[in-house]
Amino acid sequence: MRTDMKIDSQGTPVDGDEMLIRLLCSPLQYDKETRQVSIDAFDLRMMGKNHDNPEHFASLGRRTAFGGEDEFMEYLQKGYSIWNDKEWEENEYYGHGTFLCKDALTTSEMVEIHPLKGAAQHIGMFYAKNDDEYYKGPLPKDQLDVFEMLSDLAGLISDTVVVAPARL
Amino acid sequence: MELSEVLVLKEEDKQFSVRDAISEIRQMAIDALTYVKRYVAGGTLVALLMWGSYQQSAGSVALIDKAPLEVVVDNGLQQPEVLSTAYYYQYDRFAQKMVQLGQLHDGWDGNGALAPSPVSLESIGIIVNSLPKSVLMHCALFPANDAGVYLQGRFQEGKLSVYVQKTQMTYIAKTAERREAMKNIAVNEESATHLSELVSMLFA
Repeated sequence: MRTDMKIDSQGTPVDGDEMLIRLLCSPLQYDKETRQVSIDAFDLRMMGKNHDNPEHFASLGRRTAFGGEDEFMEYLQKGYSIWNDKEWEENEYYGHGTFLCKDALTTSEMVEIHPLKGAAQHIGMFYAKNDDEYYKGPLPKDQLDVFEMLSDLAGLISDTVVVAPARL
Repeated sequence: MELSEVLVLKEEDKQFSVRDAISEIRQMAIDALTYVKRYVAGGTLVALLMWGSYQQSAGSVALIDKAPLEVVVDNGLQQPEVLSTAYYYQYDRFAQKMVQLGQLHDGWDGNGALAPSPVSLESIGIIVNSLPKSVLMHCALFPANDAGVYLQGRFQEGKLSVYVQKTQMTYIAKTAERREAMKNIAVNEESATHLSELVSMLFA
């Protein structure tokens, strides 16, 4: 049976009609001309100083869990801290997109969305690799089912992306 | 030079004459001539005509709307030749993006993303060059986090997703009625042409 130590099995399950948020990890993940989001937007990344710590899930925000607008804006600021490469200007935009949980779940049977241990606003999108485990790290895009899933997930938020200066 | 910086010469329904155009864009014409020469073999720029809305600021006129651009080129014949440069605008956008992708380094996402490999960039270039302008204008390039490159197209009829990793590509073209997909095929003139014909049929 698939499990992950980060999943909060006691937490409030994510309802299909809940609005979820995905922060874009880099300005390079959004094209303003064609209003498209990169297929990588929902992929798992390699983290850590030595790039040896693969992500187990794609981090999402749970809209209903934010106490107010200030708290929500503080969450959006995290997008800047994720991709803040020294080569980018500090006032470069960050972006986020919103989507319904049920719409993400219908893109693929691989997709699972679970509450995480820690902050209530933080939930995770997991990708089932097989009956026993989830994917870790960048997904194999040369597999058509994975490629199509990531493409459809990116398409979910293409029309909802909001970009704004990194510093509000 | 960005085509978006080219002066707009048509005010609403009023179309400037070629003579007016030349007097208005003297300096810009010089820059534009350089641009045109990049893509047009020979010819002397006579005028730039663009249809779209514009705004005037600090004595200059700037395009704020993307509209079909026509370039009038004096090719030495009696009638100047009018070329559509909508394709060149789109191609230039891709050329600039290719340069940007080529300048990325590992960690471009703030974490462990790998920069696109030169081989992947070369392969995506083969594909971009094979696609018609009617398709390219709806497409965008993105770096993949594994040294590959994506070409993504968004159309009224559906979407195109292409993933290039070195000399291999995987693609999915989807409309409401049809889905075409291939994985791990070699990128070459033949496969690029096949892809071009497919997307032209689906999204033209």
